[in-house]
Amino acid sequence: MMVHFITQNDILIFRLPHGCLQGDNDLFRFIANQSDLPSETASIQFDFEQIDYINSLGVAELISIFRYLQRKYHQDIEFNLISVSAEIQKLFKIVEMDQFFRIQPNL
Amino acid sequence: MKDKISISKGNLLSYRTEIKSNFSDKDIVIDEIRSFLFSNSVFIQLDAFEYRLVLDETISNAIEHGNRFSSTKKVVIKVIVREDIVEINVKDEGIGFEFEDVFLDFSASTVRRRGRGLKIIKKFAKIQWNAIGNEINLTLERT
Repeated sequence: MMVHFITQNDILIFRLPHGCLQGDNDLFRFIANQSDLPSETASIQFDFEQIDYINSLGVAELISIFRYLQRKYHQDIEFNLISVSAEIQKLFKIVEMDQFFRIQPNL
Repeated sequence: MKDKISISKGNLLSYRTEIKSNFSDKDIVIDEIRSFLFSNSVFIQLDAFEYRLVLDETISNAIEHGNRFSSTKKVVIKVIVREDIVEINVKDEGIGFEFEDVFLDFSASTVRRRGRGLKIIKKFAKIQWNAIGNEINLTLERT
């Protein structure tokens, strides 16, 4: 999985590639193996613009990433999922993902 | 995958297939069932995303939690088209589970993960398990 990350001021942004998140842990591995992530950041964004499908295993992977990054940075780090499609928002609502992430629609 | 059957008996259409306990055939069978329904002009009250999600979660549960990815165990998927509904039956070769507990106790991570998938399935389909919980029947309304 080719994931790009950039930093804008104190925001760390991961741009997810086109495709699906189905819990194969590629995304988790990519993030856990990055040695050049900034040492400090105020918030983290995942850009979902290119993601067209996610299932409950993908949701579980996102939560694992969230917990990993909480440990790496701090417990109160802000976590945003941006450019989320209407279908994926519907799924996130069913599984109550808003308790972990702030979810912003695809405008 | 093997044993694909597509038959018509009077007004009853049915489809059967079985897959190994890994995720590689899952998307194929989901697409095949969609093609089977579409080619027989059978439409359900779910959009493409919802349809994929409910089948994905059901089959994934059978592979992961039912058969525990065992190479010797299969998942059997049957589709029956009735006048107003489509029934999708997914059976694994696992020992089953106490399905009522999944919605009550979210303390264990496995239960949480399985519960999340079942919550999705329940949102889009009426569901019924057999007595031991290794066979689930989904009822989807036709349009």
